[in-house]
Amino acid sequence: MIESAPAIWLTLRLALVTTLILFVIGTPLAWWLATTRSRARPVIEAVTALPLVLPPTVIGFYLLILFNPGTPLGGAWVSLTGDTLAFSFAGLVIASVIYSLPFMVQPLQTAFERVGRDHLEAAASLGAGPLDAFRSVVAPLSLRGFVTAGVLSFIHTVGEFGVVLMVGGNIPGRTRVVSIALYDHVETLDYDAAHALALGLIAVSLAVLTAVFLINRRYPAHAG
Amino acid sequence: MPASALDIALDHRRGRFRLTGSASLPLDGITGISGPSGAGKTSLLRVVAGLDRQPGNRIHYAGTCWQEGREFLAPHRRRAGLAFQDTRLFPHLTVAGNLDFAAARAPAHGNGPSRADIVAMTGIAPLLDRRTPDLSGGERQRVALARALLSRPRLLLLDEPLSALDAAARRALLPALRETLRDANIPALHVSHAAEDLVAIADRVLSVEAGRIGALHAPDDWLAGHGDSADGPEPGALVTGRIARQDADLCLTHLTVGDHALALPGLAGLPVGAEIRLHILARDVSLATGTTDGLSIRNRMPARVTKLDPRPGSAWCDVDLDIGSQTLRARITRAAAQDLALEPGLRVAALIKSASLAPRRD
Repeated sequence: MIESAPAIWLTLRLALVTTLILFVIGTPLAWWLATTRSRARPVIEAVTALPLVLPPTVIGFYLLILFNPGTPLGGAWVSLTGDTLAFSFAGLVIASVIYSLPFMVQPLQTAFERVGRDHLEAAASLGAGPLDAFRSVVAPLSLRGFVTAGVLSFIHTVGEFGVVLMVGGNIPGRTRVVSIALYDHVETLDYDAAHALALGLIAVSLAVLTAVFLINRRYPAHAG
Repeated sequence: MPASALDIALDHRRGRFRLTGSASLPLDGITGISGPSGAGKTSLLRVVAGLDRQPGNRIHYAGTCWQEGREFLAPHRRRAGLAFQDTRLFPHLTVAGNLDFAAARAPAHGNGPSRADIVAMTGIAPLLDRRTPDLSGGERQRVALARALLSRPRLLLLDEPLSALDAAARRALLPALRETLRDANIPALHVSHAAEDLVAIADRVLSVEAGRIGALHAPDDWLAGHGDSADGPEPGALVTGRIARQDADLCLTHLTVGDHALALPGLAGLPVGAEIRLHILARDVSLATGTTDGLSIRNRMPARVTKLDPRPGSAWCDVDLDIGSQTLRARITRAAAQDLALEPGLRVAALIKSASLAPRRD
């Protein structure tokens, strides 16, 4: 288990950073999707949902090309940090944010749509501007959506494999996350270590999901 | 265009629904808005509040543009507090939390009714710690009204705000609301389909029918049926009185109406001196020319006939009566008018059963 510690630590760090970034990106995006009447909405919704249906290797492949120092993004990153995006922690974060985006956006969008326009109209007529109304009415009424979105994004990032392998490779302490380490153990026929990691992942995921469902039951959504 | 008016000119389309017409509503006192359901009363309030942004509408508040052409003042900057019929209380906040929400966003300057006064007037003191999803429909409407008042609106928009309360509770609350708004100098638009309610509170009545904004009437004219509406109120008269005495034993409230007295049930709890406006239906008023001993009818007012309006083709004759600075209206049969030899100038007694002045069931 000691030998797995760096992989576990890296995985938790990656999932945490990814989830925090997703909250920042996903909240306005989900709000826009929940409230817009724009004709672009179905297109944006489809793009957001794409990581659900594409093989991770497709995303990984294009990201790898995008991260190449020869491209504007890859080049800018190298001149800014002196490091390449590919095979780095930053690259993993970008890849995870894209890959887990639907797990953040969809629960939030559903929660925002459930809040509906009625309470926003009431808030506006009482003098609350859009940001104020979001903070004081929409956010508290969407608390369940935020919990669900955060947990799903976190767990999904912990469990990803294909994209990480394509973009990050398998560098111990740098890009070797738990799922990759597990794959490594199986390749080298070290089944004891593989069991430890696999069972650990199952146990943690089960515990977290049970906690989420318990919380959702204890604090029911505010309907109407 | 008077500066202290809400000027509206609507060409409002939403799907197949249309609401058109214009009106200039004085920003002084309470404007009742009447009309059958589906006529566009709620749409009118929503446009004024800025919740519907259809082009073609024009709203000016005391000379300030709220909407015209591309100009559009966001609803939260209008300070037009809306008490929704479906209340829209925030479910994550308690009753007190809902009131705090409004109070925290009310302008600090300017005067308005105090929180204590609003809570007392709406009778929600026992509810303050309750969760809003646990309230009854009537309780929710009381809270929604209090919340809208606490936002210190420049214009209060009331959309059937008491429709879930029973008639007796409405009769007790409306005079108190009227007084609160008058003291705080808050103009209001009050939508209701109940003539009794509008008369109890409104200084003027705007009729809205089939997507068309109609004319503005004095409440008395509106009740006289002189309005342009076939769907208007039952003929009657607006009679204003003050509470002279409460008789708790016999459950009666005694009003003075000019030099006359009127006793009726259903106003217990209101203070002596409170102004009460009654919609007295013409069909509830009987006339007598001789002595009236041995009757159970206790409200008898000396009156002078001012106008006879026989309705050819029907059994009815409407009689306008002068009861000293106010008008009462009676609907009797044409046969009775002939037998009594009624003519303008004749002195009669107007009889009104107290029971017919009880809060109406609806």
